[in-house]
Amino acid sequence: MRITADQAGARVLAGLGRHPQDALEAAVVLEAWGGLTARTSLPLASGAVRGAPAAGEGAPPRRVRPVRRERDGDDPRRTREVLGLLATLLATTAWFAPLSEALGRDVAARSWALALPLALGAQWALRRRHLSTPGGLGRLRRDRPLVVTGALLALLVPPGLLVAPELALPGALLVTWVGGMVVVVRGWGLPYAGALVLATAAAAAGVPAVLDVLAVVLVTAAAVVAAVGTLPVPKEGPVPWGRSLLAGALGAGTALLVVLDPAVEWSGQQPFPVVALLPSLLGGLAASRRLDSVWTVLVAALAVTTVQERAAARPRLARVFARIVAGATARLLLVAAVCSALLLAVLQALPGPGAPVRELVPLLAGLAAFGLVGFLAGLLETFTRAVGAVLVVAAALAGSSAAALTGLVDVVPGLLVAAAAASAAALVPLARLVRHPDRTLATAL
Amino acid sequence: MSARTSRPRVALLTEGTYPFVVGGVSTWCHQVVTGLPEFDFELVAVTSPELEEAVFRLPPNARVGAHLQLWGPRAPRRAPGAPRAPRARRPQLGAELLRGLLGWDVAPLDVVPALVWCRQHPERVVPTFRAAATWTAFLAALEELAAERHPDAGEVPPLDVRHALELYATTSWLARTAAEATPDADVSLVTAAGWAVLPAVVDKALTGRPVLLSEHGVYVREAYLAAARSSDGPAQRFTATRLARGLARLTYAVADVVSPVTAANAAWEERLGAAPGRIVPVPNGVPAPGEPAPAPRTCTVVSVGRIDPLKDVATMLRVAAEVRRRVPGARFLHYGPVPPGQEAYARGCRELHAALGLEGAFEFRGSTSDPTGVVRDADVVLMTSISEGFPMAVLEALSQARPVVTTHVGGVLEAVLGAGVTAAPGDVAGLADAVSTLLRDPELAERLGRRGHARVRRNFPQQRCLDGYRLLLGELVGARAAVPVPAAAAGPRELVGAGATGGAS
Repeated sequence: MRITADQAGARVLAGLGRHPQDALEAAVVLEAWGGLTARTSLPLASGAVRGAPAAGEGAPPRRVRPVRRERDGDDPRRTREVLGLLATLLATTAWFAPLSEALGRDVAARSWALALPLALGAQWALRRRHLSTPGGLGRLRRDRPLVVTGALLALLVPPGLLVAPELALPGALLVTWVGGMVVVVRGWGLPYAGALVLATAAAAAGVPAVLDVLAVVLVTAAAVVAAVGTLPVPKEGPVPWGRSLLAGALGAGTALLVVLDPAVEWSGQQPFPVVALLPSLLGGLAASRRLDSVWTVLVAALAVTTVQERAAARPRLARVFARIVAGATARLLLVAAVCSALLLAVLQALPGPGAPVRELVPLLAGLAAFGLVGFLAGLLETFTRAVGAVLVVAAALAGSSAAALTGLVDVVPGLLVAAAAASAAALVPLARLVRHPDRTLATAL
Repeated sequence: MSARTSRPRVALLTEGTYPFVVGGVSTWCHQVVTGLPEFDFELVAVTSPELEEAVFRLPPNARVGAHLQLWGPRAPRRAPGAPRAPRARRPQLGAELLRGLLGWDVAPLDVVPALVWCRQHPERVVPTFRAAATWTAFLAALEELAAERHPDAGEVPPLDVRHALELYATTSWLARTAAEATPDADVSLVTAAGWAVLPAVVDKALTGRPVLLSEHGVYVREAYLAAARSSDGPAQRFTATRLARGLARLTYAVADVVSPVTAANAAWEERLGAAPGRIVPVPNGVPAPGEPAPAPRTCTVVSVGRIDPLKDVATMLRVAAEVRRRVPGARFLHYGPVPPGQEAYARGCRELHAALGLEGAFEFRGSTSDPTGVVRDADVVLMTSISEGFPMAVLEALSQARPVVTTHVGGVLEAVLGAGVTAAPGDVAGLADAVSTLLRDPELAERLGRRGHARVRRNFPQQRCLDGYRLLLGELVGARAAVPVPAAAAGPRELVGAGATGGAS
């Protein structure tokens, strides 16, 4: 077929409905839609691209597709998740009194103090390794180390509760808290919460506390097996152990703040700290929801900024990012404050002597501060700022210890000191994170 | 490196195909590994993360030696027992890869040292891309790229920061692919001039392992076609096609032998830098056909191919509608899967199918494990592709003495010469004329079919194709054995690219 360069240019324009991007695109059009052979189309293609305007000219404005990474789910699912977590915490808290009675207050308190860091560490590690990608829960059953650990716990804890409950109790709490999270993430939070409420009622009705815990452990283990076993295994592999274990260590480290804080009384008369953790937990959930907008609002702002404009646009982009982080922090503190006030009112309204307000307020403030430490560490870890995240937790632990050693805790709750130290340690890494939003997202691999 | 066995070993590098996906390239790979039992094949598969299970049963002389899932969470690591390198830094890594693979007028081998560094420091690849300095250097290189001017290159479209982020992530995966350790082998057989070449480039630079490229379609052409048909904006089209071009140029520069399945595709390879003297076409082949069964004479038209824009199923449907207008009893049977990512295209085809009123007249029958068998039910075999190498579907039709009506793309004409009718891609009227004529004149159809059968027996026996690869692989293995393996410390650029012409288009 004979064709002139002008005809080739016209053919390409007609085929594409626009000018070609380059000579190769012109050649492809001439070959695939013009019926020319490669030997004919390739030499003609250079002519077809001459005089074409810039590729972006006349193009419609870029449509910005929102990007969401590490999406946990839609709103109803998130609500169910929150309700399930609340129920898990409340139910296990309700066991404290009967277990203290059956096993001794020291045993119960020690078990809680041991289980809390382990459970929080396991939850953070599990979230990072599997739950940060959609459908990741189904992958759990292919994760041999986790399956072996879970199977060992499920096999050893139930008989352990019957034979040596004082030794097996931390394991039972670990299974309930971590297993509960798995069941809740599966979307079965409400029925699971119902089962826990029944167990709590049974304990109140006089069922021996250890048997009650045993039943919950068995139900939880069965629910986890069903939750994981009924999901397809996603093809994508898990996040490597290195990063998951780091997340786990950060989670455990933040929990240590609560466990080691001398002001958080585990065996006294004041409301049990697990209940008092609820406001900060809810605050953390509200904050993480706000942080999700990094993948929509911030990415949308980046999508309307050309590479050449980015230096000039940096202050504007940094403000967008800073507003998201500040908004998330404010949400955490606000939700924690409101929920603490509500909890305080509920505790004061309960029959019985109750704890004095002057003891409860510092406790709740301290635990809200604990939530802030977790939030800051989690934020840095999410953007792969491992060193910053470790620094935050280390600073919090150091601050808390220093407050205890110097007697500062008599004036200010140790957890507030820890949060202040963590915030100070987070300032520089957070500023670096926020000042260069493009760099932050690019390097969060 | 493990001790060499006496049997020659081939690293077979695939991208999104064998042994995880059914298709023409995979069928070819399976023919080669089963047909060349004297070689041991170590498969190095580069795939998307959702591909896990092999769909081919590998013969005893083949195994999956490495499987790199792009876009998954796994980071490259040091090989067990390998010494820990000092905390190496290469903040220019992203910029080097960007310039080397997306620049229009760069020497394709300039990128090799950066790729080699990735293999030598696999555990440093992800930390390097996490470093602020790497991103900064990458952006500077992107600005340089945007300012590049070349008469054939057109203008670079405006790139926004989100594009830059996506491109940075892609670049990090190029580095991870280069970092992937491959099993020890005597020769690398690369099946596409794309991502799969990266490990082979590094192996050649480090150990002198020769590279044989067997090209089926033309990778860069298919990337341009996909981009041209997509609804992506100019910036996304630019990055996708420039990367494909860069990878193709790198492949042609590094390959010792470029073996297209048809001489028709050699023009692209030469244009992008392959030295003509290194291009050795080896056409596909099919098992020697026996005596063909007579055509059913039921006005049945069969087509075989995946539901993919490259196969231009929409044109096929329009041809069917036009043929039905002329030959009301004509029936169309299409065999082929919907590959991952083409679900929307398949939906569009079904909508067109309904709009053209083809219910009951054109059936989508899904995958077939017996492509040769299904063409026996045909009076005419139809193919409407806009890009092809040397299609097995056409050879299988000819081997069963069925006339072929096809678009003349790639090496189709070479295969079908005198045994069918061709038309320009997208020429509905021309294709419909041909199909209608053959359905109305079964004697003519039978004559063409017999010619095709004879042509396949004479020119395209599978054994000839296998012998071609046996010869090429044997020569490359022998050439490597005759030359001492260069030390890894030697400059990589001296080890690759002999004979490359460095074409810039």
